[in-house]
Amino acid sequence: MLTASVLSVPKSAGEPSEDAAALDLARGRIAVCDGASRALASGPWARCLADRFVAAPPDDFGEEALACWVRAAAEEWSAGIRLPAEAPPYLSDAVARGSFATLLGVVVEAAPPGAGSVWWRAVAVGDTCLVALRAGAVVRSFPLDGPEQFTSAPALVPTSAGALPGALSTADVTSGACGVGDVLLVMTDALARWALGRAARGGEVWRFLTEVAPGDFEGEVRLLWRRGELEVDDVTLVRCGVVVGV
Amino acid sequence: MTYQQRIDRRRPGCFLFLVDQSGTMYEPIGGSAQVRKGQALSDTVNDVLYAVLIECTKDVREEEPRHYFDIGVIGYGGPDMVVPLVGGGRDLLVPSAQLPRHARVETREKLQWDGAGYRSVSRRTMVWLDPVWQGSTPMCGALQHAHRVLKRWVSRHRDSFPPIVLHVTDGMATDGDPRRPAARLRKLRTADGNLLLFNLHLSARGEDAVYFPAETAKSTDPATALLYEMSSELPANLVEEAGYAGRIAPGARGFVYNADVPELVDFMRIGTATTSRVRAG
Repeated sequence: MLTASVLSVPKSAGEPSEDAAALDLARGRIAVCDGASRALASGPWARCLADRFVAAPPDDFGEEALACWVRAAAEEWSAGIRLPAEAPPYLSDAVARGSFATLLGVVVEAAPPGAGSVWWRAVAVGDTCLVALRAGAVVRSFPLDGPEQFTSAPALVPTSAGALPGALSTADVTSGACGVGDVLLVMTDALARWALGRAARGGEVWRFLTEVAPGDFEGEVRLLWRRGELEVDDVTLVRCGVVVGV
Repeated sequence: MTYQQRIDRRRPGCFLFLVDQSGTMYEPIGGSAQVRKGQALSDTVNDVLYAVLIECTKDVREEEPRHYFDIGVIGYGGPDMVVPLVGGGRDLLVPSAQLPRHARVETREKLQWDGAGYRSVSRRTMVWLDPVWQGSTPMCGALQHAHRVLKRWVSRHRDSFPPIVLHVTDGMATDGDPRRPAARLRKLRTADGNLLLFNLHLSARGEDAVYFPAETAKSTDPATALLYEMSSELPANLVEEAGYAGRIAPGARGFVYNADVPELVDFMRIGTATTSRVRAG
């Protein structure tokens, strides 16, 4: 059995976050997506991807199945875009270029009876990260495991069919097992980069992220912003724990 | 650390294009006899402004694109003409939100890749700039004008990424030595670093281009050395964000000599790579 909580802080008060997180714990599905700030309607695209992943994830995480799944999501996104009549050409071209978002999806499945653990598999496009913890120590950091690996141009899932083949060839897939007391953390890029950087100086950061009270999280993020330790960006953290062996 | 600042509506970026409109811009670019230098330049600047507009479009329900950038285009030609080509208000810079008001919509033939090859398609696009070629090359006047405009901008945007000036010419200044006004311009700064001045020289002869060099060659002619000296070093993160890491050496200057159209496009892409630094808000 899984428990999970979503903590998020938008980068600016007057602007909705372009991160999206979705959970279906009964079916063991978690998704976090980060809409690219520079793209059109990227918050709705991130939301579309996350919601569709937990409702009906790709049949498998191979490139072909992913492409098919993304195309269906992109149709839903496009249907939500209403171009005004007599739209100037830049609006039409912005819609044609489409939107972009990262995707980190996890599917947790029951292990054989008596195994005392759950199995999980994850797919990632971009720099939203999954960190698996056991007894407070990292057993897997996916798809990135060091702060120096974050770039200003992460891989992104596009809405445009023409851009799909190249984009999905960058998808990373991994799997693992975890038992009672283990924790899965899913974080958007700014928080993941900060945490992986801090982890190099000791493991307290994982305890902080696992234990910080939801009501204190925003204040802690804002403090890190003020100190200049954390990039001012939308922040989303999903904490998922295994409480009973499946 | 300099050149790190993200761009949003509270901390907009700034592009200023300095466009040579002297008489020699009538010559064909790269010796091709197909396209004149002035035409290639105005087409490229129009394409860049259009691309910036798309980058500033976050929501089709909003009446305007977002104000992520302030943009100026200053043309210079003869005799002693230095004029804003887009806008022309008190600040001589146009917020990206207002760019559409300064353009006309045209249908133009463009080459488009369809997977098998390029084909010509009619597309509606926006035009801010028309080709002009006339008289001399008052480059010093243009650089001084840029200084006046951007001095005011940096004083109002201390926390922004510093302005980027993209200067395209095909010749030598006819109103003095441009190194001094260029150096004065490069001294303007925000908290994130000094203004970046990039220079590109258009060729009419189809000779090999000097492409973002990290040092001047010993045999270099005086004009190349002068424009090299006028140019800022390219910040490494700008090169990476433009997708040119590995193609341009560390420490390279934002400078191209004997450019044809492909080098002009590269120059504009690198010079406007801060569009990838936009953070909604």
